[in-house]
Amino acid sequence: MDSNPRDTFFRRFSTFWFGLGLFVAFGILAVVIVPCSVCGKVDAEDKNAERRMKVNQEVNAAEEAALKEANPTTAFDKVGAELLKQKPSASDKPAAQ
Amino acid sequence: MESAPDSHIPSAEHGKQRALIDHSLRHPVMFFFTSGAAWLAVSLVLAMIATMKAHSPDFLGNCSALNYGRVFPAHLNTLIYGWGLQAAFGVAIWLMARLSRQESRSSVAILVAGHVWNVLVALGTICILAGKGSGIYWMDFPEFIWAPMLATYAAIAIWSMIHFRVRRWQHIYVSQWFLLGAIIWFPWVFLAANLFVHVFDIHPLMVTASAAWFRSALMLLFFVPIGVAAAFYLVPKITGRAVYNYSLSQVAFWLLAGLAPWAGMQVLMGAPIPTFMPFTSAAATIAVVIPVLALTVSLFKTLKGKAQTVAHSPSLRFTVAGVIGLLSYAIFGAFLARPDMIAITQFTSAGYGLDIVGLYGFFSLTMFGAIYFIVPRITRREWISRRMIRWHFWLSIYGVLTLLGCIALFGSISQGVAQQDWEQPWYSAFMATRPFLIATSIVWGFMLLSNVFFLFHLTLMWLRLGRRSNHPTLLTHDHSATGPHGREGLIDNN
Amino acid sequence: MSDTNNNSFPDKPDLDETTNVTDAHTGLNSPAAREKRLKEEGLEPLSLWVIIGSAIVLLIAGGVIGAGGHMFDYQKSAPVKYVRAVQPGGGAVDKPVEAMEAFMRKGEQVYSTKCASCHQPNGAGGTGIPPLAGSEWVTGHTQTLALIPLNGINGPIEVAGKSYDGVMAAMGQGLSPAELAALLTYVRNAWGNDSGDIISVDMAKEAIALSNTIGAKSFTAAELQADHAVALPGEALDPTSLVNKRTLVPEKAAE
Repeated sequence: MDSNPRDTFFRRFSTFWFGLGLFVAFGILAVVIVPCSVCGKVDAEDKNAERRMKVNQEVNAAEEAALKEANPTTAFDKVGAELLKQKPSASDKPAAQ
Repeated sequence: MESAPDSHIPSAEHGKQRALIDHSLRHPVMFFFTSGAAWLAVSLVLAMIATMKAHSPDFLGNCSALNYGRVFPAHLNTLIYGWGLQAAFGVAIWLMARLSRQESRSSVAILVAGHVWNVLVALGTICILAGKGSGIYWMDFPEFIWAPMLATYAAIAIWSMIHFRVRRWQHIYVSQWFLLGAIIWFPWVFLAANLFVHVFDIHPLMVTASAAWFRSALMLLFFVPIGVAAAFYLVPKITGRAVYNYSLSQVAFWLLAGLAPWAGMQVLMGAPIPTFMPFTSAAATIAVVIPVLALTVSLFKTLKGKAQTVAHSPSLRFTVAGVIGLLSYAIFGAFLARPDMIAITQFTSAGYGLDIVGLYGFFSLTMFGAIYFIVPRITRREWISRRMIRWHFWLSIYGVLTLLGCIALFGSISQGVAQQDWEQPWYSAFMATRPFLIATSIVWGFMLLSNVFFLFHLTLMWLRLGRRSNHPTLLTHDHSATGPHGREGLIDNN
Repeated sequence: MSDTNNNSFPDKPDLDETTNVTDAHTGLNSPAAREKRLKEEGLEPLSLWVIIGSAIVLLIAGGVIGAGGHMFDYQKSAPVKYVRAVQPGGGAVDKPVEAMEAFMRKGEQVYSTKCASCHQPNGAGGTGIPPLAGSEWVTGHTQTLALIPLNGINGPIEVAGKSYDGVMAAMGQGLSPAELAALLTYVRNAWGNDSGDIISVDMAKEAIALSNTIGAKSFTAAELQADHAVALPGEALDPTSLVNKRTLVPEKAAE
């Protein structure tokens, strides 16, 4: 085979690393740029969620306050007695047509 | 004089050099081709199951691994990553080595990487069938697969870049333009899509747009250049002529490079993404017809008057069919990218049908052409059965044409129009599509048959059981002792 | 054509400065061959049809971009022709239904979503929850009934002979007038309650307006009986007349 003046070790070595660098170049660029541009963004969904959570917390607090706590054993006795007193009734009445 | 790029009177010295190059690459290239063909057969089996499940969900019982939602992504992803990419690797590394006149010194590394690639694809496919796929069209492998895949790709493709840089001559062949383009574009496309879809924490609509872009970019910026590179090597080589209008091919290359990255997002027309994205993509998809037309014209002008050669040579037959497939892919893609057509076909099988025309009708046919050319030179044996090659060819052609008609065009349009009739229940739209689905299952069956022939044939060659002969296997019968190849029995393939 | 004994680099393309044209033409002895145009390799002529075809494609692509319209205007992100509108005269037409039937159907839907979890699907109530079946508050004055879900009620209340003392939130807040009207009509006419009348959409609108005027105030039973023991203002709706089953608004049958 005739000699090829372009085929040197340095050329191969540099092409190897340059090629690998080229393969991942866009990835590196993206990894650098994208997280920096995404942080600090306010999502509309998150804002709505905040509003809803506030309402949720208010409702929860009101319900907690209105809840009259009782000893579980007395509550079970009371509820059990009430249930026994109730008469069975049909719950699967067909809807009025 | 052999030193001119297009002279085909071989000198002994250059013949020996070619033989050395082929010898150095025999293991990785044959491995890629054979395992690729095996994955193709697997993919076609899965395609048959998927289309059967689409119209008869009780086919093969109720096994969850065989449900449509799992089998269909498995089919498509094995077609792309198992067959498509491996065939591309085999052809690309051989072609770049040959065109740069460089023997490969890293065949072991490439072979190991090829095995790793197969393991990754197998793992990904099993995950999809087990239900762990990502659910993103064309990127269905689970999240952990893409990074090793990219590393494996680098281990395969970097050597071709080195070959190009240390190539013997300053002249750059058309194929080398496209191969280098594909080698550099694939990591960009793959990395960008996977980073934006799997890694970054960005808006979900951006994820969808990135996935849609990936689908088109992988096709136009990797599969198309590799197929075109194979065509631009085989056509001049086999016909013995120079490429018609080399500058046209360069112009087409740069046009493709400029237009193709914009395409892809037209499938999201009407989605709540910025309006310029789908419309620019639609325009780019239409404009891609221009470079494809230029390349096709260049190739066909090179072939002018050589119809006999095309008929006789299996490689050239497949390649020419593939080029016609490329033109059809571009034109039908442009046709379906118009906003009024998108309005009808957006939620139909049109996109899938077009993908198949591109992946099989263009890319696979071109790769078959290249494989039928390369394998005898590497194994130093000739193909055994003319008949198998013919069956492979004609069944593939019929299959692709029927799929183009059934899925991409008539099936999808009838499905779309029936779906537009919103006063009817959706079931009637399904019933309108059902005949096309049944036809599709049958067609996949035939294509599976043809590729089983191909796989069998290729495996026999891989096992070095091919014909030891000086006469190449051509699709004609005239071989005499006084013909250009001399007497039968001499092994000296060029 | 130029000869070379240089093994490392290929020939330059034929026809550069070092080529002698006369020498290149030796061998082509006839004048016809000599006058023949020598094509420079690599720059063969391009057919006009290719250029025309490319121009047409480019025009179509440009047209598509034009069809995008306001591509960067985020206020107008839905292209005008892309969202399909019902043709005038076309579209599915609801047949009007008898009023009581329509109200009861819709009311049952609303009830099962909003009220059945506490008051039970059969209106029987539960521990600390008054029943609706056989309740005089339900079958009594319509304004009293309407304000209970709209504002909520607390404190001691006597229903069907038993007394209860709890808190009910304003479960009816956010209902549309049609939904509220249907709900109230349903509870008044189900499970044995037989008021026989319909609370129309207009009456429900009046109730909602009244509730907004009063503001977010939960009533006690005494307040309701004192201030709101009246009927809601509005025209009575004949239970056998025809209404649209979605909007519960009176509608004539299509001819």
